[in-house]
Amino acid sequence: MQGRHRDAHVHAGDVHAPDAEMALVLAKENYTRRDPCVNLWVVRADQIHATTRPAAEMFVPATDKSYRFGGSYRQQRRVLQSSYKASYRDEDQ
Amino acid sequence: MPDARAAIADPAVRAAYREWLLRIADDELVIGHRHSEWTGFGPDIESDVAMSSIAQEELGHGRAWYEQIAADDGGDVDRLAFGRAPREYRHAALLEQENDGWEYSIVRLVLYEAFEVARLRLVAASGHEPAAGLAQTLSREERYHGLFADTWLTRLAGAPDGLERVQAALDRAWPDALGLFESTAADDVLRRAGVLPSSPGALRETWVDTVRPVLEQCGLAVPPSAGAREGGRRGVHTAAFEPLLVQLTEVWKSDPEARW
Repeated sequence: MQGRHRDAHVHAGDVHAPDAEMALVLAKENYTRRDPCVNLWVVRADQIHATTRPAAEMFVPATDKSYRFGGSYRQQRRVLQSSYKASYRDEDQ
Repeated sequence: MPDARAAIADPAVRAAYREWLLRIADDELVIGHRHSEWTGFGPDIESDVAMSSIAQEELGHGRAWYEQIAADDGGDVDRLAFGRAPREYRHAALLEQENDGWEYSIVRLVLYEAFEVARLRLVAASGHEPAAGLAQTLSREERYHGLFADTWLTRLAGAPDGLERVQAALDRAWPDALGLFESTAADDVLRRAGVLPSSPGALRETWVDTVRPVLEQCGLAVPPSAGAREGGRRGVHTAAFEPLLVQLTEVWKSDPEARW
């Protein structure tokens, strides 16, 4: 689901449905009641290609890569999002 | 068209208008209660949540209309919603019938939502505030209710032996649905005063034009247009209503003076 225009879609959950149209109808009421939403995607679970569980090892660095972490970028995103949420609440009242 | 607000100064027109708003509020309260009976019993957890949510919204809409009526009366909203005798309720028979299977509830939802959208459009177009503004706002939620209903109807009618079951539910619901358009003296008063730019008959034509393609696309036969079950708009209800009202008002009646 997408919280507002130009946000990235984020995974919200799953629904059981016979087809995409019904999945969208059910997802709307099951996942967008508590948070703002402007757009929904649904995809069949069997159409998702995933890495295997044992492959988790390939994501673990063998040497110190902390210089790549870029914590300040994540921090900036958190600040932006929290100020957005505060303004959304203001509009709501 | 005469100015609705000026016309409302006339006590007879004012009473007729109150009667008309009460129909909307009572329809929403009673259908909201029936929908809520699906909570915990829906065919799947997702549809259970969705139907429960629709129930909450209809009850919320009912409350909003009762608030407008009570504000005019100078009375208490809860007393208006829960404190009347059965014959003082103005909803149509369609809304009080028991949930006779999921297909019946879905058919009823399809028929009622199409009506509700047409009626809210009429109220919004009347220009008479604050009802017109409220009608405009509430229409947003009704759109999803209709989408949920139509989507389910298509799936049910397309299932093996589904068409017969949905047709049977439709045949059962249809005379009650026609009762939504029952006309009383209040309708004549409002039309003469120019408060509402339409009549129940015209509203019914709009409604049939909306539901006919939805039903026919599913392979359903639209039942005959005669044989409406009327009475609800005059406070005459079927045997299904009193037990519903007892349950609906049980908590409030345990202590009418309590503040919640």
